[in-house]
Amino acid sequence: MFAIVRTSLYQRRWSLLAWSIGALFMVWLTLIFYPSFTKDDSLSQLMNSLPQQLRGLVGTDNFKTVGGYLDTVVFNLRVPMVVVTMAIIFGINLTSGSEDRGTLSTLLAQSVSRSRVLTEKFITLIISILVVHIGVFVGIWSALATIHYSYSLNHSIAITFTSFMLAVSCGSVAFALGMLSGKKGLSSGLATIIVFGCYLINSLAPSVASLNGAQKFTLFYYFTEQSAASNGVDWSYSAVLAIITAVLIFIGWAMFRHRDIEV
Amino acid sequence: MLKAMKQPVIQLHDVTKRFGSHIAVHKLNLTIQKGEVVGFLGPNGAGKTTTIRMIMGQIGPHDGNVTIFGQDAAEHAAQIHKKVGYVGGDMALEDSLTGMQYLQFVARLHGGVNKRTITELAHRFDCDLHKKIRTLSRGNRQKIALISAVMHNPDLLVLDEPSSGFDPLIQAEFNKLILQYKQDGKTVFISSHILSEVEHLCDRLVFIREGKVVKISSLEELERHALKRLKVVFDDARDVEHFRAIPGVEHIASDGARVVCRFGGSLQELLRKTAMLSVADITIEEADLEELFMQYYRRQD
Repeated sequence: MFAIVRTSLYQRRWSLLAWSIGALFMVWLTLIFYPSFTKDDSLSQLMNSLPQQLRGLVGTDNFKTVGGYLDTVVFNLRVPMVVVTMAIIFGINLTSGSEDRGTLSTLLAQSVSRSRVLTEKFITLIISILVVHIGVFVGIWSALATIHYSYSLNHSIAITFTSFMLAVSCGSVAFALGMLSGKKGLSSGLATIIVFGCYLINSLAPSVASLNGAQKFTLFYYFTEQSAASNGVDWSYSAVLAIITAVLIFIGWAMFRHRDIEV
Repeated sequence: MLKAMKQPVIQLHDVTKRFGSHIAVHKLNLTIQKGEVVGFLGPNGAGKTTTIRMIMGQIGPHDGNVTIFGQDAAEHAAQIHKKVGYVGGDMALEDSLTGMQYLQFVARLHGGVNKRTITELAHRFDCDLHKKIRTLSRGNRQKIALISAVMHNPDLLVLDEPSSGFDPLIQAEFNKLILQYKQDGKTVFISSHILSEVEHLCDRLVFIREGKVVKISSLEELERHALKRLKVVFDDARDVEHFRAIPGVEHIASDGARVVCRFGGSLQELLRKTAMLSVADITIEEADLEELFMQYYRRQD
């Protein structure tokens, strides 16, 4: 049972370890500077001096609390970029990357259905993103321990969970494109354009009137609007990310079931 | 026994496969019965791999249908593959695993295979299973692919140019394995572009060129139709012209009373007619199958 999941995770163990340690270290390094942000007003002044358009990209100045700092500094750009990039790379690698190497064709020559291959590979993607988010979570608490600050356990779980949901939905874009096209270059290029395009639209929308309506069509909106480190999980927004993921995987599955395998 | 021989294992009915405007396989009809060992021969680009990929359900035909054990090859691939072993020409294996890890992975996909079976096959094919696959030579990777194809004791072996990279000793062991399958009444479909590689293993040979079957023949039938090489020495050089008129004599080259030619007619007729001539010596060499094979490659319909 789950032979593909076990083998795929085993093959990616060092890569996963590296991503997890990288995410942990990045969160830790960003969060340990929190005390200097709270004590120094010059950053608030700097933020206020920025043009409105730039402020949208950098985030708000709501970083006087740990939750606010996590929402606006740690999880506004840094963590999403790392986990989303990782999710896209893994999503492509498991699908069109495998097809490009010819290993998908070899796998399908065994007694295993296409639906099972897709399901087990998607479970592998979810577990991989989860492992990296364990690194993120440990990063939060090791940094808080380093600077001797306390924080809500529920909110730290909430922000890690919403970041996990964002990464799964962005990884699903790459995964579905890889499954439905089988072309590594095309699927990775398209996934990168879609996901990072979504990020830019969502970041610029507060400052650019013409993008206001478009914001709700981006995956990042349903992550940033939650401000989960301050407010906890908004289940309706998380449900949107889950539904988008389910729709993407369904489309990928529907196409993958009957299409020709490339190599 | 007769009933068993009439069970079709592989059936391709009017199968056409296109890649863009290129027709890779055109209205291909082929039936392989249970217990047959069939060679699938053709030059590079003839449509062999495309046909085999349709048999394995990796690609679907645009027209016609492909059934294996009576089931649609693509629709029921997982179920069919429980009884099928497949080796491709240069199969992509999971490079970061060792041979044993890879074989255990494939074994789990098949619902489990005794580890002893794996080690016995590795011993038989002189295969080191403890090295990472990425460090192995092409021949050794092919051995692992072959073990993965046979370790679950399938009823049908589909082999697409399987022995590329094998040294002569392993090639001999591979031939023994195929003959063992044949004795056990199992079915083997083996593609190659080299006739000598498969001719002594197969009950039937299927020649394909430009996506179409150009000839289906048993080895005996092929040998009967293959051009034999004749060397004849006459006492009287004038008999060369009479010899030239015998039906089936082709590509004649003469040097006085000495003649070298190809012969593709009835041997009985040849002997009867040459008996009336002043033959001093005659040598009939074995049928040149490779030459016939090349004719199928080259011939335009």
